[in-house]
Amino acid sequence: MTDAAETPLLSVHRICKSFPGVRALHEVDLTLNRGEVLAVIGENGAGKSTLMKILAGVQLPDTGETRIDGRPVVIDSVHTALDHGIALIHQELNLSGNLDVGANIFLGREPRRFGLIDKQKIREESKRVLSLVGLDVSPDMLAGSLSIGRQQLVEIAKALSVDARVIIMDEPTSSLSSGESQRLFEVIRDLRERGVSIIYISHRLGEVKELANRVCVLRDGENAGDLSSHEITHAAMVQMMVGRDISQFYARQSHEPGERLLEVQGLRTSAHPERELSFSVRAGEIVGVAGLVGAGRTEMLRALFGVDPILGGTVKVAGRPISLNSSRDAINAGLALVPEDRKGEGLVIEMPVRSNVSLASLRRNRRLGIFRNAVAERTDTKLMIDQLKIKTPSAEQTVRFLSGGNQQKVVIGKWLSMSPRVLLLDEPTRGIDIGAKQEIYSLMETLAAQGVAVLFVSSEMEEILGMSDRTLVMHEGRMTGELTRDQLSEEAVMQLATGGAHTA
Amino acid sequence: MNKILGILLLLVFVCIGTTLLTDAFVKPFNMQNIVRHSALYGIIGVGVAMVIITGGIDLSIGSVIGLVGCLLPMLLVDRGWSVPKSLAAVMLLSLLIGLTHGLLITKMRLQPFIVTLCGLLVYRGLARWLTSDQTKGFGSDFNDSLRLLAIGKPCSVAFLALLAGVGVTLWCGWRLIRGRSGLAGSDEAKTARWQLPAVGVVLGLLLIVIGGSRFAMGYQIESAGTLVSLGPLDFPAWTTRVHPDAVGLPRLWMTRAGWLVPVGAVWLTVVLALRSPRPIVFPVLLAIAAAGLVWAATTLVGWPDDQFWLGPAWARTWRIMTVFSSLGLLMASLAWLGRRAVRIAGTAATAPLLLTSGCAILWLLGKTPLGETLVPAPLILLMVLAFVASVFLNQTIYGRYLLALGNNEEAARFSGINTDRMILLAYVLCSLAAGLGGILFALDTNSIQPASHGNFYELYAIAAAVLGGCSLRGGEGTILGVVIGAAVMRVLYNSINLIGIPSQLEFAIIGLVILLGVIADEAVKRMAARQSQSPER
Repeated sequence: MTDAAETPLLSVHRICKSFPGVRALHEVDLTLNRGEVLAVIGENGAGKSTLMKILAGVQLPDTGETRIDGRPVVIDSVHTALDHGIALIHQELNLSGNLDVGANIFLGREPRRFGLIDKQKIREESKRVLSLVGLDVSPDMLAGSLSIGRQQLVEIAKALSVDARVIIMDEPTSSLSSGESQRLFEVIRDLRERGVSIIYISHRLGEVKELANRVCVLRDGENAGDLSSHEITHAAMVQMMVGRDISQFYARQSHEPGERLLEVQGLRTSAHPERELSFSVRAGEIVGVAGLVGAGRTEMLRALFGVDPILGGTVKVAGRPISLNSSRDAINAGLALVPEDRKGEGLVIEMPVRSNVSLASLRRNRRLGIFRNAVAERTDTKLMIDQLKIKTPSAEQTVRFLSGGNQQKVVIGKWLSMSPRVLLLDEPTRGIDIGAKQEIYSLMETLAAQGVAVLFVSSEMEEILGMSDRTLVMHEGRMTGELTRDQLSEEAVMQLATGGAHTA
Repeated sequence: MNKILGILLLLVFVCIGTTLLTDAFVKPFNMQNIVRHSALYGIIGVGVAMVIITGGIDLSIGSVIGLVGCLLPMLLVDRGWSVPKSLAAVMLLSLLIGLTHGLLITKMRLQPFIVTLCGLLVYRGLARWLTSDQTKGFGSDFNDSLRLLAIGKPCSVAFLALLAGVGVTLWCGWRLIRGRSGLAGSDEAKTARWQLPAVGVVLGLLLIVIGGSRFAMGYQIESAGTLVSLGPLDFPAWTTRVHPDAVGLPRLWMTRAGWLVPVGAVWLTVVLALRSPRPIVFPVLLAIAAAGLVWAATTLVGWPDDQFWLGPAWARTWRIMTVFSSLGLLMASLAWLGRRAVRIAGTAATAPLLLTSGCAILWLLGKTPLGETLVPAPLILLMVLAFVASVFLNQTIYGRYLLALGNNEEAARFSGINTDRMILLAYVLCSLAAGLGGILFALDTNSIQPASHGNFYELYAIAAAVLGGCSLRGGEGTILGVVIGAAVMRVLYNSINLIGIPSQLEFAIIGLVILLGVIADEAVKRMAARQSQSPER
């Protein structure tokens, strides 16, 4: 073996990166050799995306060292990364649909002749790189007219046109059909033969097993271990991705479940119109919905709350079928939704706490048909601030100035003042501190004890394991399984969430 | 609240500056014209504010005014329709226009800018086609009836002062009685509970005396004709007659209100001296110096042209520059002083400040013939409309929905609010206000050019709303602010004409003042955001 083959192409050492309130990466190491496919896997929020952004120059690490061909380098911009031959292909494609394929490939570094764009050169060069990825389209076609799978290949061609030695792919197959995925895998194998290294991020462990030479597992922003090619099995990967204790954080008592408050039969949503969802939640029960990002969980809640149209199926609340044409129908039936995007959908951020808490109940408390009941508004808000321990100088404080946890409590307060029968929560503790988290958990517990049916979506494994009486697992728009409390384990959830069969 | 105070200060600034430069400004005739025009623009401003609060825009207002202005005389004069029928017809048309805009924007998801821009072109074209570009008017048949709606003067300022005095006295008196019952809480709260209402009562009683003195001395309201007859019901139009003896008395009382200025000033001084006098020494000295400069500038106004530096050609520029800059300095130092005082002493300073400034304003107004000025009818209409709009925006659930969805439409939708219906409502209200404005503008001018009547009025309305504190991003705005904003626009326009700035510069100056106002507002907002250290971001 030559000396060059022994030094890794790219290596990072003890990389740390923090965002306000969050430690995204802590002393992470990663090495990438020439001509290998390295899969980076981990749960949502394990730090994969942050690490990739650092490699591609989108973000700077707080501390740590990056080496290319054994020489230390500082990658401080996307431009530097490209100069070193590192290209990142985002999960959401970045092609301009209104430009042709050639223009997209050379966007921002168009070859010039006499000061004008040299279209001839673009055409020739584009043809060459497109043939490398086996894509038989004319460079003059509009990028927007290509299928998603083909657009993905154009992105790869674009990376090749800058002579990328490292191509980072962030969940490239998330929106591809299986045929298109197979096509992509062939291209990846072909690139590997040519000595290009690939960092491949995916939640789909099946793909990882098929493609990767080596697997690097991240957990909570730290290295959880590496697997070399002969060690890569579904079970081993899941074991490494989870594998930690659950602290005694969740004060759960089991309640005798009451009547079925929410019954869903054959629900079809616009995100996955071909899938049907059926389940029920009883009074006093806390049901968790697990799954990977994009499994259709948020869309299911939005449809249940009447925000997105329902394509088919029936929804019954306390045995009575309800029609869900708008969120008002859902609210009238006793449903409440704490949405995933707190600032975008849950709060009117520039308004005071009082206006936010009362927003949903204004209508119920109105006087003489149209007038606002200021007294009810004030007493409700005071009650919610006391009951939920919202830390705010006054009810008139603008919500923007509250911390994430207190903002979330304001959203919950808005719904509690409506005394809902079914509470839907979407990632209820995302981005909030540990103390507020625990308060929200105990609140869910209290509500369940009072006979509210609680259905929550979470991507945090601990939360699912700690809080749910029953867990529904979704994968690509369908329910892949239902786990009772005794069947519940991280491995079982991961197995179902990644599309494997449940074997318990 | 701060925003309204800022725009109010701007209005006062331009008014005082213009008064110092020319006597013509406060002449009753001029004041009546300004108020009438401000009220007309205020009406369409209130309408467009509803749309701006949702985050939208309505560019078609001017063309709606043009179309309504052409249709009304056509129906009344050419077709011989009855007054109620014609008014109902044009208001129905405005309602349909608003409904169309709203439906296109909410159901078809078109952009408000495009929809209403097309409206601007369509309605203007229709107006020109319907009239074959012929000038329309009401002739002289309606001078003693319907036109009084726009050009009538149903009462005098003294009467409004009397009404306002009664209102303020009753409101503050009630607050005073209720506040004194429980004297628990901090000193601050106690002060707020009785000092502020007490000062309010004093100022209210003063207003009653000022207005009433005029009313007692031969102030007369009489019927000037029939405004509208609806079957057996006649709505008479009132007009006012002034008894010559009644002119001096309100002025006398306004001058006497000045006696309370030193009382308030001494009170304020004592309050501040008890707390910490040092921080206000500099603003006080600055204010005194600035007052001296203003006095010097007013004498400069009286100089003959040829005594100015750079010669007579520059005389006008010198007068305008010196008056406005010294006045600006004075007002800035007074505002600074007020802010300092409130920050040092809190509500304990607010009461004497209110008394001093309130009485000083009454005293200054006593120097002008404002007390004898008559009130144009559109002002009454605007006051009613603004009151209803304020109640709608602040006291009804729908007003809150509009503000909420203007800030964050998704969050409003997720809270069970039918956002589409609310947006539709906003466009309907805006077009109805434009229709009402169209009727009044037509009655006011009596000579409607189909191609130009109402041109750019939408921009005046939008400018008034923005000056008054509406954010074009939506979710922000007060009705009072919009009304004051409209007044600022008209006063500026009038001032430019009176003090002899070339009228070609009119747009440039109004544009610059609005721009400066918005820049100042943004700067203040950023400063406030930096001061209230947010835990996040």
